[in-house]
Amino acid sequence: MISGEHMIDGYYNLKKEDLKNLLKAVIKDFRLISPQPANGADFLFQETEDSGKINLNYDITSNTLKEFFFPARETVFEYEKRKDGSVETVPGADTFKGETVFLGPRSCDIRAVYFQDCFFGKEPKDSLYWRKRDKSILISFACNKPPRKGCFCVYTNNSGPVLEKGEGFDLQFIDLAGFYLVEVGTGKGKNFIKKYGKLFKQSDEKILAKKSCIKESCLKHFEKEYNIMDIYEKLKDINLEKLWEELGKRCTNCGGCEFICPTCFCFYTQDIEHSKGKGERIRAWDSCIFSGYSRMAGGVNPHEKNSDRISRRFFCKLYNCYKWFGVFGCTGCGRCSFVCPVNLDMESFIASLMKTDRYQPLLKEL
Amino acid sequence: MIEYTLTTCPFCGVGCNFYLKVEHGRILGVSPSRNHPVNRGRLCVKGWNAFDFVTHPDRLRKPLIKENGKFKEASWPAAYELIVKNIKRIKTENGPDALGVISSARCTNEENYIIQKFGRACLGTNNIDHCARTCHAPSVAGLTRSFGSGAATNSIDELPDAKCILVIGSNPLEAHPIIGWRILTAKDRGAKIILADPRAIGLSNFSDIHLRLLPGTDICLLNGLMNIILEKELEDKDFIRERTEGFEELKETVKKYAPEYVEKITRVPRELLIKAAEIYAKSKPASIVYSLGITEHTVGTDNVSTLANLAMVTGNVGRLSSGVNPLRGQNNVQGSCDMGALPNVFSGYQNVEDDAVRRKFEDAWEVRLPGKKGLTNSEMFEMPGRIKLFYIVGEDVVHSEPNSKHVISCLEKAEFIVVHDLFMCKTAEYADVILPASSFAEKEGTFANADRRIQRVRKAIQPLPDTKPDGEIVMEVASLLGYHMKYKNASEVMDEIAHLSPIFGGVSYGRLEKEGFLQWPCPDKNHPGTKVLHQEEFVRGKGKFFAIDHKGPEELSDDEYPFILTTGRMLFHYNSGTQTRRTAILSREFPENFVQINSEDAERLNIKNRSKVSVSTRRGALEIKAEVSNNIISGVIWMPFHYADKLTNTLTNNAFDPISKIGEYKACAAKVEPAK
Repeated sequence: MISGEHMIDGYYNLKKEDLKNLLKAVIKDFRLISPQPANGADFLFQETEDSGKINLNYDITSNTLKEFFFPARETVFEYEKRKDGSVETVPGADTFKGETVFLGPRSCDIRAVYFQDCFFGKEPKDSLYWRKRDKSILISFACNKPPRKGCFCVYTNNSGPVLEKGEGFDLQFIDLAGFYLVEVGTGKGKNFIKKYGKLFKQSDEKILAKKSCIKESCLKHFEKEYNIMDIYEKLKDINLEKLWEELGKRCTNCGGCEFICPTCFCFYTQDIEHSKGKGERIRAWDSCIFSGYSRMAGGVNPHEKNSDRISRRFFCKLYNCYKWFGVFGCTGCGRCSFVCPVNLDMESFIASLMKTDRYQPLLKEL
Repeated sequence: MIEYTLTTCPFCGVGCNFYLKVEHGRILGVSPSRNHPVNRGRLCVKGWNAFDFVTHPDRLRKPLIKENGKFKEASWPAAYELIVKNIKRIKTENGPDALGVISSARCTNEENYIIQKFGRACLGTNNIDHCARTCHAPSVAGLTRSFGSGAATNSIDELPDAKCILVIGSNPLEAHPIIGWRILTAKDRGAKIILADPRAIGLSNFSDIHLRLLPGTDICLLNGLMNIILEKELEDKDFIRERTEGFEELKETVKKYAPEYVEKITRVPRELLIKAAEIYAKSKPASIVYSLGITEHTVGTDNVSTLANLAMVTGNVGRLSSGVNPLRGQNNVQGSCDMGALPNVFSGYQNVEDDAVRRKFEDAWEVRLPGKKGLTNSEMFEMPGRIKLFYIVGEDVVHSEPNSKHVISCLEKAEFIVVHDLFMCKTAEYADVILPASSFAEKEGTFANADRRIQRVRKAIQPLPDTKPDGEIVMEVASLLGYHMKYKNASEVMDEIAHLSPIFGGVSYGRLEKEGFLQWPCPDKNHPGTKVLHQEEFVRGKGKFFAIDHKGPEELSDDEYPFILTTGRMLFHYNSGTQTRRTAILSREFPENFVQINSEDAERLNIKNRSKVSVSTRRGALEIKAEVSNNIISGVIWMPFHYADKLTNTLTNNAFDPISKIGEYKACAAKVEPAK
């Protein structure tokens, strides 16, 4: 037993060999969603009842946590017109079953959930989102080094590679060779530790000090050149017309960067009539890069040009979101660099914006 | 619980892979496969939305039988009974060659194999074709006669390493966006891009040289490039000597195509021609990428062979990142050709008129087979009454064949028509029986993409109630006609294909699961598949030059019809639009048909942007909106063909390439005037 004066609240140690036991216990008590290799060599966040399928040594998942709380499409309500002309509506069924533990997301993914909490948490709160989100426990895994070359969380200043309390996790696991340092972020996290108290041992200051070492050593792997506030200022100040024009010519409007983006929150709604008088209202992911996103009745479009829409996208992520929520709309996960079919991604954009007046793709993920 | 099923995109021929996300039998969306070698995480807007149509309320859910001009819901047995009765009757009265089967490039390989087997072994006719006729039949014919194989010579993932890419008659950023990505990546890495297209398209922004030629002058342009290359002695003499034949004739023919002469016919300034020829000949490896701007002409096959000439002159065949690469337009148009959904070949391009081949299939299928090649799509629709019974699987011929009115007259004259489809469509309106089919998300199978890559299609949801996959339907009809195909699953069909077709000999579901894909030729179990064709020698031995002279389109513009109308595909829609126009995000972008016209022409005719105009040809007229810009050259107008309510193909010309029988969609004479 370590002496009392060095012990600290809210930090625990978990032996590596106990992770398996923890996973097994969690699967019994909760629904568990974790990174798993999928058919086709990708990793995906997926539900599993077999702890053997979980792989925490992954580079990046091809899906994001967004789709669990804000699915690509969901039923808002079902409706039926009655004979007397009235309409009966029934809220869409809640398909998010039971308390769910998300174990294995990285810092950038957790920050994205935090961001979406900000958006969907504005009054009036979005009930479809929160009825899922409230049932979730987020256990994040900090990065000891960047998992792939397309990572750039350090640019965005507010995410990884190692998170601080209040940045979105319920629990954070930090890999310290033989064991994990487990940091409690919220009451949910505290209860979780209590539940599996046998596996966790209270940590001490000496061990906690290693957290910042891990962070420091991970940061060394990045070529950190930009501070997000500089990017913010640069967007505000200069006339970027030419750059937007250039990007407008490049983008082919697939919407992929927005669909894959873990923070993008735009959706459209549509009433689908399945049979006469009976149907549902759905909401589904939308993208501000589409002309139809802001075209008004009559055909007028305040964002007619592709360059206008591109500029709106980057302004939203790197400027407006900060003004609205105090956090930036990019967590540096870098997924936009592997979905973009015209090599137009956030990291390349930032590098181009800060270095030159022309767009130069970094071509990191081909 | 959300389940993720890896499958192949059902739209164009690039063959991107994604996961269909399904929760409780409902498709929520797609996630691209990041590590898939074709798309590496990329999808176009159609791919991202390739699920919305699957459960659309308009899906056909019950067989429909036409009674007194109106469709009535019927049971499957009743529909089958009527079909079988009519097939038997018409076959007895008129012989098997009065029947015509149109297969589908949208269906899987296994289904196409079953459908051609149904036509040949059960109905007894080789009258089997599909829409490859209207896209890359000239590629199959042209590349086969030049190189010995009708498929793309190289692989998609080699494009980023090319030093020069000549893109001709192709709009890859819209029609094949993920190949467009590879081309753009080559550019981002410093390659030179030469674009030949009458229109300003997305790729114009990234091309080093844009040759804005008049539609229908491709041979002239290409002969002009070869003329310059030979004049400047930039040809690959060793390659020509060692690996080709017929060069002297070619040399003689292209002599005439001096830059001045070519400029007059194509309208491309001579300086640009010279620059383009130099860049293409000097940057190695150089790749040629083309699509329907080359093929959809009465000289389609000659266009393709001329491209082959250009590649051989510079030695750009048989090595990485070079070659002549047709971008196949449909998810499985390569595969449906491979499977023998063609009137002249069995699976694996084995000639139906070859006695030994036929005997092999007769033994395997335990039936006598017809020994003469059948009719192509175009020939089936050559004159009304030629085909008495059409069995059409998922193709909208009224929408997609040139000169819709003529096609309709052929359908009206037929005695009986069966159509399988997901949705009611133009062609289905003329059917006697419509059978509700299942979509790609509801079945197991494989597609072959533009670079001969056989990839799995996996069932993500059960077939919608009362719908059936096309292959299953055809097997059931065949059984009722007394011919039994007893495959337990798609994998067994593939085993038979591999057994009977040498180029697929090594293909099996076991290997596809393990290796992800196989590129044919793959002759045996240990063969890794073939990335680059014609490496050591051409499939036909020596590459053959065809000396070809320029010949203009069948219909030239004149005083009455002063414009050249050319047609094409857009980013947000796919072919007849039955799926993309039922996808909320896609149809929102471009909800209606339009015509592109040059600003000067528009001003002269008093046509304003977005105003209504009438476009007419000798075959029909349409009232649509005008899009006025300099994206198109003067004297030429362009229309997409995706809109069933304003059918562009009522205007196009049903003149055909004599070799491949493709229609001339890319050039006909037209008139534009403000709508009255």
